[in-house]
Amino acid sequence: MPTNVTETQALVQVAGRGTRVNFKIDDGVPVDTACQALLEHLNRNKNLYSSGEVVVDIGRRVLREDHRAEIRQVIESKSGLTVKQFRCEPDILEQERQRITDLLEAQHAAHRPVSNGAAPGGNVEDAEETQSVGDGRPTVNEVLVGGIVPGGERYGSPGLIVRGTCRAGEVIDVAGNLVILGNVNPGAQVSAGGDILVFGELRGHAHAGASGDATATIIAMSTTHPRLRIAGYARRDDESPPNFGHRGPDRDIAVIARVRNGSVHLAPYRKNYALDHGGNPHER
Amino acid sequence: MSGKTIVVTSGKGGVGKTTATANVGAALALRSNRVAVVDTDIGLRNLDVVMGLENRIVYDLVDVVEGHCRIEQALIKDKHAGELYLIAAAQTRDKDCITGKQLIGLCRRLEDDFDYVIVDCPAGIEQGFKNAISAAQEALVVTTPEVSAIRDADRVIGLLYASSVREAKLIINRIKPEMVRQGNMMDASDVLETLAVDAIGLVPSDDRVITATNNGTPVVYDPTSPSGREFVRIAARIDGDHIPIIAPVEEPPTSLMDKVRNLMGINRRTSAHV
Repeated sequence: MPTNVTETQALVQVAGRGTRVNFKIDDGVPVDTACQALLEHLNRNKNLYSSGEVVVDIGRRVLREDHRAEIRQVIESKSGLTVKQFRCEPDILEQERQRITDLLEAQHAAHRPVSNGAAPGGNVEDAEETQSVGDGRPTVNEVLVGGIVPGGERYGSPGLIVRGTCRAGEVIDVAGNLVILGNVNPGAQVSAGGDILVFGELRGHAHAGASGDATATIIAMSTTHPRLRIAGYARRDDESPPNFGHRGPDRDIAVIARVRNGSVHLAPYRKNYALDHGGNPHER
Repeated sequence: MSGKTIVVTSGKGGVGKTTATANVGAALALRSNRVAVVDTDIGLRNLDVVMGLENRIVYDLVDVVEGHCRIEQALIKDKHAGELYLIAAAQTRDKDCITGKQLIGLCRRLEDDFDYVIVDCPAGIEQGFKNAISAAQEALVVTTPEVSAIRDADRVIGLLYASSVREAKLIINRIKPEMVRQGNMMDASDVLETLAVDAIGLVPSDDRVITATNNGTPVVYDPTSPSGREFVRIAARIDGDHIPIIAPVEEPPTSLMDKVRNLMGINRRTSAHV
């Protein structure tokens, strides 16, 4: 296939530094074309990818498992990289889940007989015909979209910058990332599909990765009794003494909250935090 | 003449909205402004009692908006200050019997005749609150240095910014300098930092407010009262004077025995414990 350099670059975009790389694959071309472009890219940059992990961003579509396996095979055979995960945008993933659930429900309603012999990862239509739910086996949902995590565009999607204080009773909810140039007061609730950065004091309720991304983080310049949630994990801060508004010993320390071992972990954000985490505090 | 409407609000009850309304109103009138104070706390009216005008009410706010009387008939002239008038709330009705639109209409007409229209807002953020803030261009948010009052003030400031009110200023009421010094009460800067608004007055806690309320004579008429003096300064700031805002200090001991004790280095509080 005659593919010149500029086209290849357009089909596969590379983002990241060091051993942490994101491949963003154009979501407007067939998988075969994308794989071809990926192959050429890897062949040209052989010594660039000797080892490390890669996140493949498949954009605004949900790829079938055989296609994902193809991409994985290309990457892992032609470079030292390991494919860590596939990502697509949360709303697309949710739509797809909903679509499949609806189809299954329609099937159940029609009392159509279902067999259990489907191989995981067949094409979408086949799988819908043959998979069933509730028998202990993985559902069509899990087979089809289980290998994909939401948040593909997390670093690229336009976020929201809020200038000012978020007051009690105020609710902010965005799909992308959220930056607040002010305080989040007690009684306020801020929520984002991606990360939350508070350039002020966080004293209210913050929910990062609200669409299910447990790798999201919350960073705040200082905190007092924050109520933190990341994806499905929650943390309540009720260990510190009651707040009289006086500066406590660690009120003015910047903190980062991430999910670790199944719970939200709060740690001081030191100046070389990013350095200690391979240049990117958001990746784990 | 075209005056402006200022709403006095707080969210939480019992922080001193009505006291602030009566005192700021009286102090503005003492500076030879024409002032109308409107009590919108329908069903739980207090402002008439605080101003000592309870026995003079013939017509009230609901009578005006329902057209039972003219505005002039419902305006009750104050006993003390010159050009200070009250429109009392109805005691027998509830908040839903007037609408924001009706109050806007009333306040626009009052603005033609008065320099300041001060609206005393009910506690809460329901219909009564929405009515009261709808007519105002500016707001005075009253809070005390307690977390519960500050939380409610924060909510109210958010709602004010989402409304037609252009400017909100904070009155921190009932500050006890002694408790602040001991670290048992938030100081004004902590409150202002949380609420991120400008203060217009820091009012010390003052027992004279209680007697003044019971007598129906606002505390601004008592020159020895520290809270009354601060309300006078608040009125001056509203009127455009530039008076620096200073946190209240502890009152010096006044009685002869206190002075003697002070000389001997015995604190009043410690001696009370002995």
